[in-house]
Amino acid sequence: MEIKNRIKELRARSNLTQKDLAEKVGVTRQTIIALEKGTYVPSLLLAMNIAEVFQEPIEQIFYKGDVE
Amino acid sequence: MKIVVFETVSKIIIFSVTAYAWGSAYENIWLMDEFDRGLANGEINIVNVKFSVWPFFVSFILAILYMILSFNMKPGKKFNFLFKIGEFQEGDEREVNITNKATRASHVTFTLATMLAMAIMAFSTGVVYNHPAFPIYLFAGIIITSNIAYAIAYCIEYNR
Repeated sequence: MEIKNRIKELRARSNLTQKDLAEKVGVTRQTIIALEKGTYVPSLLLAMNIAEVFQEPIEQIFYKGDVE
Repeated sequence: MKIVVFETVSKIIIFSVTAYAWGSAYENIWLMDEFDRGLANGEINIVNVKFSVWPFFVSFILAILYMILSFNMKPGKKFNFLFKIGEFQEGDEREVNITNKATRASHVTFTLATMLAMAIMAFSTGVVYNHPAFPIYLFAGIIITSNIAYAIAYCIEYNR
């Protein structure tokens, strides 16, 4: 099992750049890139901050997915 | 990641120059001891002692330069001395995770390198006799090896 997310899709919908999102949630742009690539699983606090930015429940952004 | 690579390369240079400085100082002290040992046995051993402060001076200047450049490269510019002399990056939680993994890799490498260095020293009595400062260079090698391990682990994790 791995954690997948819809950050890239939600970010595009909100017209936010990776840098904008990084600044809003207080991380580096590289962390947003890693999140979108699915190579980094965020802490609960970061996940909550991201959910707050997109005004979506956490479970709508992060979900369990099968390993390809 | 650029900061980590910069700091690792800088440290390799600084450690090498510092090891050379202490190594050459130690070899000269060794020669003076050799002279004293000769005198104690009633012999006069001609020794050629050349002590130079330049390697110490160069390593000191390099260390100061490294600290200034490193401080200017880091975001936030909060002066935390311990973090400034190490390449610990803690910009956000992902960097903290990467730093944890890299530090672990560095620790394991340090342990293995120390055990290997002990074995090398046990089988290099002849080398120590001809090059008394060999243990100092070996010790510098251990530190450099663990720094390289840190940088490699950091870069691999960072680019994942």
